[in-house]
Amino acid sequence: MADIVVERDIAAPPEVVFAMFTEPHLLVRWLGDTAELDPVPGGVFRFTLADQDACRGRYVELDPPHRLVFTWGWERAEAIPVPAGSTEVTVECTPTATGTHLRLTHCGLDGDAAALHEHGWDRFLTRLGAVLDGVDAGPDPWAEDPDDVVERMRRER
Amino acid sequence: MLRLVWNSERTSTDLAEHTGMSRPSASQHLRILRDADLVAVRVDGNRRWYRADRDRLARVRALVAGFWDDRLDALQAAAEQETHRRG
Repeated sequence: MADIVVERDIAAPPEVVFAMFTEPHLLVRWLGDTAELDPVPGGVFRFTLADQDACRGRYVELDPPHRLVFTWGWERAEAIPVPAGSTEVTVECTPTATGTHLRLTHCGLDGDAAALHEHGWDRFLTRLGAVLDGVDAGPDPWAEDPDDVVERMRRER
Repeated sequence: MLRLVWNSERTSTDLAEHTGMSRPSASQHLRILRDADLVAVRVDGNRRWYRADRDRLARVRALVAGFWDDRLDALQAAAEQETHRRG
């Protein structure tokens, strides 16, 4: 299944963009209200939102200021139906003439068999109905066959 | 499992074989996916055919993509402010 890729060109050096993901006082300026971060492989990546919902995962890989990988999910999936630690986010910071090109890739959202058993997707999937009922799908990003998408992404790399 | 029912309808026996899961755990997995409306079922005689509900799946993805899109706008503003502050 296709990963989610979001990109931005930011007028800030890679060191600052990278620190946005590793320093609690910087993380809370764009993601959440409180943060508990231990930026070493295996260390905690956790932040809370105003409604007390918390996102939790672990840092997997850190190569400052270029590349960072952490697992991601919600402790209670009321807002976004992805369980804690079940999916993986990769952040890549490439220097540009004006600052940094940031590329964020979120993979593992298909809730495959392994994730279902290891991370409790089942508990979260049962809540999907209520969560999804207010969401507009917009244009179908999965209209393409998932295997074609994977193949295309490989070629584009 | 979702990938297997992406483009074609399959039975739970067929899915168990393809995933290497036992039949009971394949059935349980399918029930969960069905409860979440991620998989649709068609009954044909005494066989049940399963396929992915792509519209529903597209909405999960749209939800998460929308989340990151908003958050990265905020990250961009914060990183640029921080850069100014550091001079």
